[in-house]
Amino acid sequence: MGHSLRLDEWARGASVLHRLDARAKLISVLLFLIAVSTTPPAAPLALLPIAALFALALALSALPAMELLLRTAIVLPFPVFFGLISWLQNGNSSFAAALVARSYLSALAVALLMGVTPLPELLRGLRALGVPAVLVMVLQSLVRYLQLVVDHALRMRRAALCRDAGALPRRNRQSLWHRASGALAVLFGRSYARAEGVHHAMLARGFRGDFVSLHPAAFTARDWRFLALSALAIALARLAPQVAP
Amino acid sequence: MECMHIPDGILSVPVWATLNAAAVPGVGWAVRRARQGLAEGHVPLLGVMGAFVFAAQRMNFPVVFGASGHLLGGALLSMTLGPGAATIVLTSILILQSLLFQDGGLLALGANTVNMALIGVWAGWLPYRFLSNGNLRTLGVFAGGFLSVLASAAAAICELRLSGVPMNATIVGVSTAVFVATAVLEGLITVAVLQAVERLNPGWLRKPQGLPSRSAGLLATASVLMMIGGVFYISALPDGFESLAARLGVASREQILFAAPMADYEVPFLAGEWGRKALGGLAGLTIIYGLCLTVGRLLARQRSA
Repeated sequence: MGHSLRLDEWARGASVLHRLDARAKLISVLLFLIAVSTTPPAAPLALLPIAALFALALALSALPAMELLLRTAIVLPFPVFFGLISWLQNGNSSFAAALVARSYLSALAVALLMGVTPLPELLRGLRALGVPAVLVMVLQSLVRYLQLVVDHALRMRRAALCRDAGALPRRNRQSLWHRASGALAVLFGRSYARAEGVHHAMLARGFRGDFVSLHPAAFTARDWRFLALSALAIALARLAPQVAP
Repeated sequence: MECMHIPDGILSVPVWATLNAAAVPGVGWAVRRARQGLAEGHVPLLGVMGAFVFAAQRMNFPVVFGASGHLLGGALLSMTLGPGAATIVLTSILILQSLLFQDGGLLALGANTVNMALIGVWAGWLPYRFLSNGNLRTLGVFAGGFLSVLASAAAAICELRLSGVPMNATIVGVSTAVFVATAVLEGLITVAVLQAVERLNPGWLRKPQGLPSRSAGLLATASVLMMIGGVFYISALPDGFESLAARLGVASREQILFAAPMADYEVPFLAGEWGRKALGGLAGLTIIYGLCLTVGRLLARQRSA
C-alpha cells in the first residue's frame, strides 16, 4: 500500500507534466511502452535513446528520482528470474539484459504516469477514451472503498486478537483455519451490506447512471502539442539506432 | 497470484497484441452478461467486492511449518457474483494493480486479463456449475478453486513460451509443483470461506440455472484438466513450443536472429523489420480501439432507440 499512497501524494504536484490532460499522458505512455516492447532483444543498447527520453520526462516531473527508481525495483524479480534462466541455459546474456531492462523501463514509465496523474483523473480519462461506463464506475468505486474495506479487515483482526489475546494454540491449525475463513465470510457480508448502503445513498442523491465530475477535463491545444511532440520523440528514439547502427 | 502477473517487456509483440485483442471482446461480453444477471445496484457491489478481494489477500491461512497462503478469489467471486460479474471485478483489480503497484504490465494487461479474469474465472465456475446440487457439491467448489489457479498458470506459461522465454524441463517441473500446491490451497480456502458465507446467508451463493448434468460436469472438468496437463507437458519439451510457434507464425526465434544485421538502409522507417512491427502493433491497437468505439456507439444507439 505504501507505494500507491506515495504515488498518490506525488500526483498532487504542479509540474508541467502534472498540468497536462490525463488522456495525453496515457496515450504517450502507451506509445512509449510499444517502443520499448519492440526493441530487438538481441541489442539492449537500442534502448538507450528511449531511456534518455524517460530521464527527460522524469526531470520535467520534478519527482524525487531516486525514490521512484528504487520503489519501482519491486518489479525486477520476475524478469531477473527468467533472464537468469536464459543466461544460464543458453549463455544468452543480451537477451537476459533486454528482458530486465525492458521490464524495468516499462514499469518506470507507468510509475511516472501515476506520479504525475491523480488516479480519479486518469479513470475519467479512460471513460472519455471510450472504456465502457460500467467498468470505469466499478474501478472508481473500487478505488473509493479499497482503503475502507482493508481498514475494516485490519480492525477485525485486532478484535480477534483482543478476544483470545493470541491464546489460540499456534499448532491448532484447524481452529486457525476456522477463524480465518469465518473472518473472511463476515468481511464478505459486511462488504455486501456496505455496497447496498452505498447504492441506496446514491439513489437518494439522484444518481442517474454516471459519476459527475466537478472539474470536467478539457483537451487543450497544449495537450495536443505535448502528444504530438512526445509521439515524434518516441518514434525518433526508437528508430534512431536502426538508421545509424 | 503474484507470480502470475506478467510485466511488460517479457511478452513478444504478436503475443501481447493478440491477447489484448482477445481480452476486449471477452470483457465486453462479461459486461453484457453481468448486466442481465445482477440487480440494479451492481456497480457499487462489484467495486466493494473488488476491495474485499484486495483485503482478503492479506488474510493469512496457516499451511505448514509457519508458512501461510491466502485466497486469490477468482473462483469464490464466480460462485457468489456469477462468472460475468467476477470477470469485471477481476479485470478492475488487474487494472488497478498494474497502475498503482506496477504489478503486471499495461501492454500485458490483455494477457493477464485473459489468464485470470477470463480463463481463471470460467475454469473456476465450470465444476461448480455442474456439481453444485447434490452430494458432490464440496468437490465442485474445491475443483473450482483448484482449476482456476492451475488454468491461469498454464495460460501464463503458454504465453511466456510462445514469446521465446526459455524454460527447461526442470524449471517447468518445479513451477508446476508450486502451482499445484497453490491450486490445492486455493481450493481448500475457497471451500472453507464459501461454507462460512453460506452459513451467514445462503442467498449470497449463485444458484446455477438449467439442468445440471453431473456426467457432463465431470467430463468438462476432466477435459480442462487434461488441457492444462498438456500445456505443462509441451512446455517441458525442449522444442515443443518453438515448433508450435513456428507453425503458428509467431516465432520469436527469428526476431532474435533478425535484429543483429539491420541491413535495410534504403527506407529504414518502413523496411526495418522492427519499425514495421512497431507500426504494425500501433496500427493494430488503433484498429482495435476504433472497432470497440464503433461497436460501443452502435450498441448504445440501439439501446436508446
